[in-house]
Amino acid sequence: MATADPSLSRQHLDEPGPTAAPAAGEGVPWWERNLAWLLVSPTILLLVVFSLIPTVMLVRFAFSNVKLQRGGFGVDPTGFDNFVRAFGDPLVRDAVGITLKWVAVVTTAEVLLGLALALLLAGGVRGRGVFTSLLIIPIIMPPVAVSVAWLFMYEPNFGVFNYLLNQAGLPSVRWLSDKSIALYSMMAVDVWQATPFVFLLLYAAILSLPRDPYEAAAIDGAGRWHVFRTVTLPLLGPVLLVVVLLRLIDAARAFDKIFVMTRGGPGTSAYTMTVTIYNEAFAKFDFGYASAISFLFQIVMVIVGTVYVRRALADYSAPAE
Amino acid sequence: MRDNDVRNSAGSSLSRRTLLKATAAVGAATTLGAASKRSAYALPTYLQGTSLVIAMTDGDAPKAQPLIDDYAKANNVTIEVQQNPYAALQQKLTLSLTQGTGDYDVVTLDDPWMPQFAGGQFLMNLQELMEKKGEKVDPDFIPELLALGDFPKGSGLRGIPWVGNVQVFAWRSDVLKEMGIELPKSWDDVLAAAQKITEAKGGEGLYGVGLRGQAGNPAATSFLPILRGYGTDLFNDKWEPQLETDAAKKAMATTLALAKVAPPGVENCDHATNGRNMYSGVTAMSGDIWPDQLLQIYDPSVSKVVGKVDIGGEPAAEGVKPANMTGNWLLGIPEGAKDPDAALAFITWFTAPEQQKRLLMDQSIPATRTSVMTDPEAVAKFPFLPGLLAAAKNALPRPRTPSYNAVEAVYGQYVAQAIAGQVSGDEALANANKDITDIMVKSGELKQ
Amino acid sequence: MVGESRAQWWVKHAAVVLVTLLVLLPVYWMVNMSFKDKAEFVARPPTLLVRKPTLDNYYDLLVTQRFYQYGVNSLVVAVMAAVLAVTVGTMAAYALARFRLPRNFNTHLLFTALTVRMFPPVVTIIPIYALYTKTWFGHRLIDTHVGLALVHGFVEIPLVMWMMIGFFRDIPRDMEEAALVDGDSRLAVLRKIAIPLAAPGLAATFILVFISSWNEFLMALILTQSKSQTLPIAVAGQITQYDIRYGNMMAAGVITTLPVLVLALLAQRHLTRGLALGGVTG
Repeated sequence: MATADPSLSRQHLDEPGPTAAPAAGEGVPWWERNLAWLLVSPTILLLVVFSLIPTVMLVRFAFSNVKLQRGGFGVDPTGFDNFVRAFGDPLVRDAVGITLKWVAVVTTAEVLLGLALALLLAGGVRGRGVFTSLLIIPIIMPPVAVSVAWLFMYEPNFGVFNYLLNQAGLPSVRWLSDKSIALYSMMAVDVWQATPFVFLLLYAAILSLPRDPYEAAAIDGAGRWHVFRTVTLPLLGPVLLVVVLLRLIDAARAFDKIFVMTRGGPGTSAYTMTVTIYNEAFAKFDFGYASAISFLFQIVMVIVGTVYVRRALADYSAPAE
Repeated sequence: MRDNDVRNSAGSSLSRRTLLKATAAVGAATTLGAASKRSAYALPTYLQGTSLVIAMTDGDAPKAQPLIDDYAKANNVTIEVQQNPYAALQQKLTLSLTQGTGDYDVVTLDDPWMPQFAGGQFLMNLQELMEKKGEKVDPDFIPELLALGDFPKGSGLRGIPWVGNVQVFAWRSDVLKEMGIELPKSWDDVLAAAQKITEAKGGEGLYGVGLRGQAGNPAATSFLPILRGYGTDLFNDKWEPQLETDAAKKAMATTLALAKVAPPGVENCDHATNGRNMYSGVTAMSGDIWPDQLLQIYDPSVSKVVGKVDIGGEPAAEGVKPANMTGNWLLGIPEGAKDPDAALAFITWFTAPEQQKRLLMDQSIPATRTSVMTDPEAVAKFPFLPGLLAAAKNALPRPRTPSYNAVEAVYGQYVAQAIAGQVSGDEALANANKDITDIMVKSGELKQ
Repeated sequence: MVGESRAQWWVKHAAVVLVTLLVLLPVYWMVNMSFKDKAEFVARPPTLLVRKPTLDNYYDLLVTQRFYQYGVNSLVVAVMAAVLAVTVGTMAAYALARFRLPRNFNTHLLFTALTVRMFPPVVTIIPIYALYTKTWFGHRLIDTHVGLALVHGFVEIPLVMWMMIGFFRDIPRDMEEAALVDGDSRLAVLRKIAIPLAAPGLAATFILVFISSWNEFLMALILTQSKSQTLPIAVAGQITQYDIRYGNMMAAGVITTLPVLVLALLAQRHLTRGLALGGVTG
């Protein structure tokens, strides 16, 4: 029991073991002896109720033709039919590509912009307190409110963007209705909202970096880029990983903005996985098929996530004294 | 277009000029907020003190609220109205009704949903309920609209219509006149006119035609009248989809050509946007205009085209009988409702002539009763009512299959893809035909 | 980072100003539009500053539509969700930070929780809806504040765990050990030392969960009806079947944003610190 998992070696309060009493020996009440288990049990209970049970139901649906019938869901097992259909469905194939594109572009843009901003401000800028306060606005704004604000700025006939373009002598752009532009227009909204979040995390991290390595680098006469690469980036590494992880997760789940702004349009050109699943489930009411796609999506997320979470966890819990 | 008041074919003709005047009056009526007599209706004592939960769209709920308040007050009944946007209402009803959760006592249903809900017997048989109490369905309801609540045909009434909506073709008479364009009779004419208008006026922000391109119900609802205007429908008698026929291909080609001369943003256009484009003077014609939008078109506080828009039947090719699509709303009682008697009493009261008239006069909701549509006072105020009645009697519902929601989601999706330029029109039709065939085979309606 | 040139100074500050403007433009536009009447809304060209300001949109929302009801719903749900997530998540976080459970359970639990957080709500909403419409012990969770708060709180537990583990690890172990030697129970140590010391972290975490619940859309859309409908649903609800009430929508956006904005600004120092510590300590 006490054999050490190196990644958790920092905890020394747990000696001599989780189920034993700390010092007092016999006479310690049971809840004190099992405190750790008691503390994690609500989390486990909620995980079972809100994750395990729904997942089991989801899997059952995925292998069935689910009919809405009197008294509830009618579930006829159909084996792998739904999965076979999913692999041949151009909508699903497109959705995979669109989702990947969304996740890649949005995460890259947000992390790069957020990092650049953080470095910029950490370098000393007047009024940065005000600036960080202002940047909180997008983060905490309800995505629905953000979407409606942008929706009307993008509006082709009365919107402010086209007005400004026209004023500058440029032709109008069909921001949300041209299939080669709309997805990027919506990505811009996400970047607008989430970059400040990335910025705040990285900015705080940069401010709390130790000074010594920088002083050493300054003595060596290292250039700015060199310092960034050899000192800042490695020190920021763990934080960056966490930030990227958080953004990846949220980007893959993107729904609100696309749903409010174009409902996945024009046509189906912004049907991400989530929009596709929503549509199969709540427009076509094909819960079996929707569950199958959801299940596949979940598997991919878990595989990608496992690699990533393990990495992040390892970094997270590694000793850093 | 003074000399072209009537589209002359079959009995479906709406008198166009009278309709125009009448809709103007409708607009005026809302602003005046004419008061009308309150019904002195009292519930039997055993139903007093009951409570009802009613599900409605957020568009209709505010209009129905004054009546509901009166009923609640007069009868000591607690009524909670739950409002949802159209799509959300459909989702919630689908889940709630099939689960038999008893969430609602009274629900309002769009007529294309009826086959799914009535066919699955998620709604109570109102006829049986009435017969048990020795009541009968009032023959005063327009039979064609009442029939919308009966699915499968002859199985009994599971919904009573209360909003007599029909889809209409609307056009800017001033624009057509100025440009010397004759009122289009067929969709080919509409296309030719639309192209001419957009070409001449697109630069000033006036476009020939408005249609909805958003995937799902919106694109489907704009496409179906065009499809029908070319003389075919989604299905034939055997429930075989008809989307790979020559007529369907022509309809699709026209739809795509129309989309090209529609205002920018047609790919995402929905009901509200299409209406706004009409009342803000951005579109000159649209085959997808509904009574609620006419109110805005004739409301001087929002509309820039008051008095400039005429409406009539949907265009149709020569030899094709033109028909306006119904979009009625019906009231039903879900299976599992806590108090069916109280619910039925409310529906009966709400669809009674006095309330129907009040909804028409105060809220401009088209009635579903012959007596209201021919009521001298109402006709004096809205001279178009006989025309609307005729249209209602001749209107066509969407295909009456329990699978219609899924079917609509499918062809609405492919039409939208074609409008967005993701696939060609023929591809879209072939895909839709295939997917719809699958749906119909799976549901057992189509034997292969 | 010292000794930058004057030009660099200007470029830097110009960039900051530009970013500030970009950040503020949509916010300004929303506020601007919320004061426009219907006619001005569709004016071409759009008026960059509202010409005939009107409070109609706000009046319609607050008085006619009784928008505050949604605000109360949002508030109740968000507070309950935050209390739930912070309580449950903090307990777990303390256990994971200070105890070693057998079979590497610490890592497994954190891993599972983080993995679960990656599930898009649209995936699990169908089964959860089915569970919520069933009657449990005479109650149903559909369209209740508690029901929505449970899922909102649940999805944020991993975030709380993640952040609070960081905070707990920052507390010098010596203090806790000293208390243990003095004969305090572990629970007492948690209560008397760990929690007070991690209070800023708790506050920041609480606010983060509160905001996330306040803003959440999809689950609220499916799991609520009129009794517990929250603000985001009401904002989207301004797109009615018949009409997009643009002005209302913008006013609704402003109304929905204001409370969390005030909260976030009041707690800004904790928030930034919380974000930083929770995500950074490693």
